Amino acid sequence: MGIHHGGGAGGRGVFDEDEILGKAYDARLMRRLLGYLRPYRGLVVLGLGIILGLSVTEAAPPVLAKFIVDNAITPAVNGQIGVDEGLSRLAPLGLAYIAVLLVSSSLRYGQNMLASYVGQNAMYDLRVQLFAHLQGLSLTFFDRNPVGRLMTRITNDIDALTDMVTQGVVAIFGDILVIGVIAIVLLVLDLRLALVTFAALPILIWLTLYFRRIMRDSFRAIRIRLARINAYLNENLSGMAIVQLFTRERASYKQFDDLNTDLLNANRGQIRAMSMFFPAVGFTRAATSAALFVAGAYWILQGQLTLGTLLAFWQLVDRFFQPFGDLAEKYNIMQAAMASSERVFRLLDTEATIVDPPHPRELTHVRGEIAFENVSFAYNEGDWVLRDVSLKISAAESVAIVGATGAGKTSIISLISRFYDVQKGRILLDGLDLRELRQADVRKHVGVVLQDPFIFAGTIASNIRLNNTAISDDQVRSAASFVNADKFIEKLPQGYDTVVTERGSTLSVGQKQLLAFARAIAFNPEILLVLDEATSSVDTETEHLIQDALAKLMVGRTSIIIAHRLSTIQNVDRIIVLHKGRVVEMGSHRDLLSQRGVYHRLYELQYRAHEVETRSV
Amino acid sequence: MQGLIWPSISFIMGLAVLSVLYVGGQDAIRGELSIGSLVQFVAYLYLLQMPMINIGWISNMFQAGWASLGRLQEIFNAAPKVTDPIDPVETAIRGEVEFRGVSFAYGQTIVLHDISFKIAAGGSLAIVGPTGSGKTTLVNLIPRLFDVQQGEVLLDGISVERRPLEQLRRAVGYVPQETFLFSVPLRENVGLGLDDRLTDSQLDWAGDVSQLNKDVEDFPARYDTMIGERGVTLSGGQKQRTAIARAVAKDPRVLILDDALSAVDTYTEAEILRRLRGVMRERTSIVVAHRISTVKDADEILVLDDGRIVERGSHRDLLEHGGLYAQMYRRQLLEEELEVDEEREEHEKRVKAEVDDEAPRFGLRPPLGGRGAEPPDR
Repeated sequence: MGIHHGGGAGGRGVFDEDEILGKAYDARLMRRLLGYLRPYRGLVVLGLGIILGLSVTEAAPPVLAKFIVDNAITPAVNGQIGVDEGLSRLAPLGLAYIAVLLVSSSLRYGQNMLASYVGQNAMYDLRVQLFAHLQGLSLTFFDRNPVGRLMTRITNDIDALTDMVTQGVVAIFGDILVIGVIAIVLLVLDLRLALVTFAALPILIWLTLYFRRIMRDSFRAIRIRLARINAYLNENLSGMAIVQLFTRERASYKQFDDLNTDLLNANRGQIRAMSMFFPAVGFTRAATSAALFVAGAYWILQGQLTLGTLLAFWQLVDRFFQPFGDLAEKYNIMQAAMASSERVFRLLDTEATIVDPPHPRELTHVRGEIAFENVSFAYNEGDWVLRDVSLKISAAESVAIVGATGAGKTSIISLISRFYDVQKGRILLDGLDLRELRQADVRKHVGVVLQDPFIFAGTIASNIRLNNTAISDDQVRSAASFVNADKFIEKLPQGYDTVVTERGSTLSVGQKQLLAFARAIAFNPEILLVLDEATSSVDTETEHLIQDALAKLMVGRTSIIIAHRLSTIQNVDRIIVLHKGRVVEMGSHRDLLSQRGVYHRLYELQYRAHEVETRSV
Repeated sequence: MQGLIWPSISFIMGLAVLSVLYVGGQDAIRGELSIGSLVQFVAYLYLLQMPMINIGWISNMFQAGWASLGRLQEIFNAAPKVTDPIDPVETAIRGEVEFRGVSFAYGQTIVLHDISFKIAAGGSLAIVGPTGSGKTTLVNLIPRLFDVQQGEVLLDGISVERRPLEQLRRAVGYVPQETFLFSVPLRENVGLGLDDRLTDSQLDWAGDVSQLNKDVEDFPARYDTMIGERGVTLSGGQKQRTAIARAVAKDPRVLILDDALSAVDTYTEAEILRRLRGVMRERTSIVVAHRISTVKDADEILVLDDGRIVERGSHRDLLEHGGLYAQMYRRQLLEEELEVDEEREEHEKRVKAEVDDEAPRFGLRPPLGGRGAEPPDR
């Protein structure tokens, strides 16, 4: 609806939100995130079981290779057993190897699928929760938060969280298990050789801790600089006309260059860290392998170690070191996810300013009497749109509200629908303060028809019943025919099943308005609010249909109409004249004209001029 | 699909190791291969593993990069339509603006039909007309935000397309309809069009002409106040006045105000117009507006409708003519009648506040918007 608000309101702090960096691990956020896995508890436990099995099967092939070398090949080569015996021992070990491989691959596949399934579903839940939460927020919130930013929360930020659940957490857990299992296998295979391997651990741990700090700092530096570049680009691209008109091209190029250089330097810092870290881990790994071979060869020559064991060690050490190399990647995933979750949770924690009372009054039978008692209202603090408005509209009465632009007409409609709460005074529905009632209860009885109604992507019929399955096809049809919408609908290629696009670009303004009337009638509200401002260009035939429909709609309902059609104004029981947020005159069309006050001037200005224009066109 | 890749790779790698062990093992048992060679083979296979995985990974990255490169190329290939002339004419600009049979279309929609007019250097032109009549498009043609498709826009008798773009735009001070300010301190916003830092006297002058100084008094950091999302949020009128100060600070030969006083109240508007008239005595001004009060003193007024000049002349001529302009005038008189009580009331409040205000800044209005306007009935 044409609800206006102060230019560029709010935003403060929200900008900073995109610069939230977060830690790679925040216990509070993590606990809350894990809460979303609770519904999938069974699957999570199964997944953990699979990871455990997977870490065992990952450690198995090198051990089997050891047996192939030690129990089949070496004895046969050394002549301890016959060639045939050696060959026959080879076959079952080979089969076992294949079996282990198959199991390992299937487990890995299963684990991947499971992690994705759980991750996607949990984040689906979060996305739905976020959307539902947004739906409950008051319009004031949307006045202040750009749509683009909210969309980023629901899409990008939740994607980052999905990454964390499916890749980050699972991989880290799996890595820890693999390291543990391999450590045990190494110890069982050969204690001394295992100790040689573990000698590298302090170095690895130190390297990891040392570089984690550098990586965190450079990750932050990069994020901050990226955010700055984004903000700068956003401003300078949207203000390109000003940049060109004020010949700022060189200056803003220079500024961008500075920001870009900053980013380059930050990236360099990260690259420098990485290009030290990876070779350092690689060197440690190579040094460990070398140490293994030296020590292993010595013990083999002493006859204290078999060749197969050394081979198995050499393969296992490789897998043992791998998680340390992936650390940076996982770190980034975790950090991005923590920052995203911080933003998402902050949004979830934004409380709706318009809330249902803890003990709402029941609204059973609505007569439709509306009263404003000394209502003052401002969209922005201090900027009063309505000032001390008192008025009473009896059940089934029809009232037109007129006034110049900015008189506060639209606000009256927004307030009755309780899109906003008043700052002073109160609004009563059948004698009950709106704030003592459930919002849903109130809105069930209030039908709003807008000038340029919002059309959802769907069919004509679905736009009339708005997903309310209680409204039957027959009701949809009778609603449409009651408001004269049936004629144009039946002319459409698929009638009521004609697909309309979002915002209804295929329908004319007049058709959309008739559709909105049908929508209102299908829901049969006791109170009807119509916003009908002077912007539309409707052909005379449709205009006639709309006028007729509006007259029918008003019968037996409390109707508040912000009208631009003289015919509508002449048909209502009473006219309320708003001027600068105050009720200045009230009465019938004839009475008000004879008073020669504000209404008279408004009439001269808006209605008569309008009539003249439409006649002359 | 993604879920299958890793398991498959590790399975295939495992199979390769097994094949070497199995086939090589048989050879070793038969004495055709030494155990050392067999171990060597296994070792090599392990070394091969990472590069093989990396090749797949790199080919993926390469494809993504290639696609991005294509999209970047599209931007690089977009040629600017408005460019510097090959043989620029660099004579000083005095400010005589002339349109000669100018027509302009966005795609298939013709926005301006055969527009011709001439403003002498130092003269003033006002343009009125309904929304969508082509007013903004018309003024956009002067600093060459677009180039005309037919006819010519001349500055001192030389086509704007033959002037160096930078010289042209430096000579034009433009206040657009939609105010766009940068998230930098107010001072930098005002000095946007200057190469050097804005001096205090330039700032004071521009701030006085645009009546911005009065608002700035209320900001703790004055002109160093940061604006935008990270600073204060300016009201619509304050934004417009900043944009006017920004255009005036450039000391332009031609000043264009495109509906730039719409969010300013009529009292301040009159003050700005009075000061602008002083400033603009030596400069050419083009004012697009809806309010008759803004345009009535211009040397010539053009009434635009659907891209054509339907009426032209002075305020008096147009009123006598009794056409679209006269009709607009009558409507606005009626509107003013509606406003007048409120305006008077506000003016009285303002005067009272000034008297009550004992602070040294006597003669200044209370801050705009917000705090001042409590509902008077208590």
